[in-house]
Amino acid sequence: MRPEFRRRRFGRRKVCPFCADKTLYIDYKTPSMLKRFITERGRIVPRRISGVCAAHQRQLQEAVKRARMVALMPFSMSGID
Amino acid sequence: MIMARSYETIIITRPDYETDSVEKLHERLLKAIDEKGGVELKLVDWGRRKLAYPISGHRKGNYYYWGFIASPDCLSEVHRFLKLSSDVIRFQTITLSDAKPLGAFDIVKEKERVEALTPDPQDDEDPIRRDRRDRRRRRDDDEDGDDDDDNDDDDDDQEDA
Ligand SMILES: [Zn+2]
Repeated sequence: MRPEFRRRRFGRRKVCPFCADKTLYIDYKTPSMLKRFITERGRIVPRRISGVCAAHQRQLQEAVKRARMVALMPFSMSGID
Repeated sequence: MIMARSYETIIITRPDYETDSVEKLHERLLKAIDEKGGVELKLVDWGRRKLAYPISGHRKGNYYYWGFIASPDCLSEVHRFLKLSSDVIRFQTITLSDAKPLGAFDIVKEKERVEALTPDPQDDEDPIRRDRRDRRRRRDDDEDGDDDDDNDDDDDDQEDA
């Protein structure tokens, strides 16, 4: 069992937004949607924080990787305005 | 028998690329496809966009989306041309379908698939944020609403730093 402080620190358990809304399509061509799941530094938010399920997190990682390759998303925010 | 797959390629050209050059680029792509066995599905001009990071010293680029069906030979020819072209600063191809005989493709269906996979990246509306904003508005209108934790997203980002 996890210590109590973790729950308070990271907020209550969230449901996977992609499981909750089936119309949300994970695609590397919609960076505006993917940006919701990356940190200010351009890293993918761990799913323990975002609440994204394992299957959708894999799709998300693939999409972010593809979006980065064609400069629709940054590899890292540092040093880039 | 020629086996083929459907693909989509994002092509980024130099920002100083002239409009009439797009037609030249398109002609070359079509030539590669015609000679080696393939079918064009769709070419979409996404326009000039700011790059998320500089590529070859450029901060902006012209984006093109190209959907097509191609044999392996045809795809290598397309890639060979894109690599050689000094106007193309980046490209990426994604495989959309399994391999099947070129004649077995339902072109109308493939065009629909490409259509479905072509959201406009200029549209910056984030569906999740829009949903949260709408909920927040509803709550503001209705002061005694429950205390939902929708200010969590930006705070959580810090935890990962
Ligand atoms: Zn999910």
